[in-house]
Amino acid sequence: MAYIELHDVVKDFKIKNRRNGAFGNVKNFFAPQYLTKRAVDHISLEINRGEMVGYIGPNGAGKSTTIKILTGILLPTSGYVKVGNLEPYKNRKQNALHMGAVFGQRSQLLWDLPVQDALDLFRGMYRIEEKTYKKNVEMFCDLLGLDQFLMQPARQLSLGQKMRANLALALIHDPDVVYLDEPTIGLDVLAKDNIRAFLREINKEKNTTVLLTTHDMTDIESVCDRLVLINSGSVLYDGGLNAFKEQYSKGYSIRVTFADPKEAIQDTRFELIEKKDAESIYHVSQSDFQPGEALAFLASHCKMQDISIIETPIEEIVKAIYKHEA
Amino acid sequence: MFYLFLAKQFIRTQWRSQNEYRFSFIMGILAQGTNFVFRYLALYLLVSRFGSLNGWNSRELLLIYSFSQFTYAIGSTFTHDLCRQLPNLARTGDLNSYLIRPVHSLFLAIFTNFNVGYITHFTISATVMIFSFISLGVTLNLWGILWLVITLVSGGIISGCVFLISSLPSVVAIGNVSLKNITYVFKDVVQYPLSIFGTPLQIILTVFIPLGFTTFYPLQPLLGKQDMGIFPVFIQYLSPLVAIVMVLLLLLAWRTVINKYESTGT
Repeated sequence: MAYIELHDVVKDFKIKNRRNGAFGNVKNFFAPQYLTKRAVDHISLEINRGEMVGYIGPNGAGKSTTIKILTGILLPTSGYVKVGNLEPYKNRKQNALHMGAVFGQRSQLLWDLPVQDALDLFRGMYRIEEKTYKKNVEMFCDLLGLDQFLMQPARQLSLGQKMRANLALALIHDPDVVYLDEPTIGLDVLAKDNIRAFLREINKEKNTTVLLTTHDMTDIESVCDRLVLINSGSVLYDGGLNAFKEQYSKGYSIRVTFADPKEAIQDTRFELIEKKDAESIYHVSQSDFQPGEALAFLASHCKMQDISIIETPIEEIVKAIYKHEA
Repeated sequence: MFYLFLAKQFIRTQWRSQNEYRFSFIMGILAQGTNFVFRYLALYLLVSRFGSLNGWNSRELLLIYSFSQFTYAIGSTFTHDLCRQLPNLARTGDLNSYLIRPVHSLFLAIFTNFNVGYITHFTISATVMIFSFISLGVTLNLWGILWLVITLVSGGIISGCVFLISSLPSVVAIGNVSLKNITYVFKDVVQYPLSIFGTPLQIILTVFIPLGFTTFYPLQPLLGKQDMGIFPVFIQYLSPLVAIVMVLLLLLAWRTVINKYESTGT
């Protein structure tokens, strides 16, 4: 049985309909009108223990709302949710014991006190045994470099250090699942790398289920094996990363450097998209023919200095989907 | 036991946080201390001139005043900062972080906003309390001391609950709904004998906003007084019961607010 189950989940929010003008303002005050906005629209998902899932979608797609439902903060309007056999909003405290969460830049650290103090407080709250606690702190020092700033108050930490410390707090009690809402937002390349490596390691060591929302596709590519793409509250894609690329990237591109700058490919299957001196980039729709065949064709028809296949980056694919959906 | 241990840990944490700003902490205490000393002095001088107020002499009035300040300080230690934070809880996402822990959300809300700064209130009001008892020639036996402790604790709970409950609407409104501004006025009213006010006010402070149980009623058995206004004498002993009812009401109100938040998200 799946560890996390969402079945036909809907979440509606009531928002005030604001009318303009002086008379509108008076009406807003005395007889407010409400509109229903559907943030999550019949989502069904199953996630197994130990899976690392990238949960992506444009702003306002319903990602954070889903996570809030899973953590027990929000009650779904309809449908049912189970995490490790518990309904999160009905067994909030029990559910909390088995999960960790990091909400973007919302820090759980104590502003004036060292990271160590926050860890101690969490140890008390989650009733973590001395042995487990020590082992985990040691592990986080090792993997996240926590020891460099363990004794510094949160207000003196850099954004990257704060995020690392928050990850440590979210995972100190060995949760079964961790929800990460944009854990790499605003971080530099190195800090992002560090966090990605940490998540992979934790997943390997402890079989922690990871549900990650992000706008950085590199996060997804380096951490997740599965991708769930949502927009306007419904699931557009749910499956493997490679299958996603195959399904949505229409073909591939080839970069060719000709021996003679004036040369060009005269074949309708190759569509020229960019040309700079001797270097040209052609696009090939995959259904026409495979990269191997294309290379063989070019090798026998032109004189080239260099040739390479460019895969469409996942970022481009996602961008195209968002544009199309919008 | 678990919650007691956790409370201790949170209080220690808050204490250490405050210590980071030792200078402003000490200045705050000095300023407040001066303020209180003059307030007590002013009250004392004023009432000494009049002789007595509805049968309460100047030292008895000081006792009421110090009682009300002490119980207010207990309640505020737990709820003052939280009341101030409530309008922001939803906006800042703090409420979310109280809801994702394996601990009761109200407990977390209270103890992460625990205020260790009421030292001046406690020391000055306790000093005045002891001075008044001595100068009134009241000696307390074991039961008297026990009742004093029960009274102060119950009064603190009632005071804290009254202000917190009246502040709760601002969580869902995400703005300052000033019900607390109304209840807060009565904090000053109960620094005087309730019986000097008209019947409507007595009813309000006994039945609806039961701040009368923080000071005026439970203090009377210690002085052998029965100045009850329109109410029967036995309610002098109801403080602990009122405290329990207020805690239950608070839990209910909190539950309602959280349920509302769960379904609206804002």
